[in-house]
Amino acid sequence: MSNLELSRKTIETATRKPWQTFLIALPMLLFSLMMLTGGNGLGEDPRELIALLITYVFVNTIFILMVHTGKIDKYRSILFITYAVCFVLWFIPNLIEARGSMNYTSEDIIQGKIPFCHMVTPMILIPAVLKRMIIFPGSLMEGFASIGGMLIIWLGASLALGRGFCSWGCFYGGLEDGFSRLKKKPVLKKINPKWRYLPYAVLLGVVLTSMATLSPTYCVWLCPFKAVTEFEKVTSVLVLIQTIIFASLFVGLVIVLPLLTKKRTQCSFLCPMGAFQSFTNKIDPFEIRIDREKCSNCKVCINVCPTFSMDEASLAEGKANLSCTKCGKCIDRCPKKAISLGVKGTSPKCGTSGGVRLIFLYPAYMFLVTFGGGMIQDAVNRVLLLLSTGKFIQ
Amino acid sequence: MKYIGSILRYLWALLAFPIVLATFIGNGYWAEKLIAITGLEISPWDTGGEIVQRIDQGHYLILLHRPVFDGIIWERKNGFVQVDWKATGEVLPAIINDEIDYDCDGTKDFQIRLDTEKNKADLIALSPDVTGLERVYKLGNGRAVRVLLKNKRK
Repeated sequence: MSNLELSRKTIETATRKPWQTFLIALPMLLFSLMMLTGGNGLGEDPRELIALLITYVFVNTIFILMVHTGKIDKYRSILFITYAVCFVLWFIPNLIEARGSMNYTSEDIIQGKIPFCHMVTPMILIPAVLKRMIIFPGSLMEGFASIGGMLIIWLGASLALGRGFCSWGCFYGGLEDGFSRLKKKPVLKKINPKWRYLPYAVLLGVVLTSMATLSPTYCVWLCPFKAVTEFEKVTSVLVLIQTIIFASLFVGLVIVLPLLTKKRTQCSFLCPMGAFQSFTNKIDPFEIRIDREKCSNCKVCINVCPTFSMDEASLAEGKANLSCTKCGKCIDRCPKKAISLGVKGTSPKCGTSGGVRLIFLYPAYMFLVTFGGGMIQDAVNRVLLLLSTGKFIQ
Repeated sequence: MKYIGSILRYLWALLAFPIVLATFIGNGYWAEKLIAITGLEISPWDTGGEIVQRIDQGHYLILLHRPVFDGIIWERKNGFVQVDWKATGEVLPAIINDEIDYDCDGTKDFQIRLDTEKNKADLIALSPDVTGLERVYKLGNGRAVRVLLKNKRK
């Protein structure tokens, strides 16, 4: 083993000294404070201050542990799952306060009052390019979750993280990630890997049907996450059928199958946004690399990958498939430390994987903290409200 | 050359962090620029299309939208025209009866009798292009309807 390899192995396996960890995490401590306060300084409401403090300590403890131990997914998943749960605890009460229920009406649609969600992105792009028309009943700039603001977030995520968005930004992903971790061993072990092409078919289908109908067909017919956000009030048989479909998909793909397979089945078998985001893995600078010399072909990475992004072919090629969400689970679990984060097009000997890991962790974690931090704060604030006044909704 | 390529790729990787910061810190600014540069607009199938006529009826205003037949490549065979009623005072009259010339050709195309208390409307088509009526929408203290149309040009 050469000196270079030895030093890389040392960086990958040993935990850092506390002062090293502190210095590395210091910029995150400062930036996360700036992002969580919105740059507006501290508020005066004591409950909001406590919620901010809890969120700040929580997110930075996770980051410090990530930097100190070198484990990515082990700690990322804690924040990612918390983020998804807090998203639900934040979104639904806000909706009920604004509208009185989780239902939206035809009036909300024609007034453009539907919050934009990143899942719609692949469906709106072709009409936007051809006709400058956004086929979604939201607001371009004003209000909550405006289309312009969300498109910029999607662009930023795509440039910096590619499909890493699905493990570091998507506020739905943590739900099935959470359910997929509840059982120790999978009940359903043999899943035909061809199923992982299904989201691409769904993507093609919803893009074409959205163009034909000028409405986001995935949102109208399939999106399982309407179960935890908002859905049209059942006023007709058609809407009833749509409601049964999305509720069934939520129970099946977000709860039951992740429990049985320990995989993110909605992301792997249905999500058109995930399929679309896979293509952005071509433009972001990071990739998951497999050192074929170190690899013992134990296939742990294939078994643990939540999105079927590792297979025999990817092991032979020395990198993860296009659908990789850069969750870091394979890196954490590889017994030979043969898997690492790398910068595309550079030699594995150029720089250390510990250094590249930090270059990736900073933007990825910042994205997660900024996108999710506000939601976590609001959810904590609501829990504190519940504890102090007995009310969850104001 | 390979060395320069590697440096450029590392620079691109280092840029990921400022990109994420700029995404969130300058979100409003970038979003405004994106909308201004691309000229994006919400689909008229959702908004009802641009308002082309305002008719003052004393107690209320009629806002007539342009007919919507927009398609991705060609216009569609069927569409609609949206008519809004807005109260100039606090509430709309209980019963509204209006005749509308949606294509501004000087001939009335349909007549609507709107019951603002029951949120129901009756349509009398005065032109063969008028095919029906969607439900009544309650928009604050105003109301809107979408009258279904056949595209004359198809």
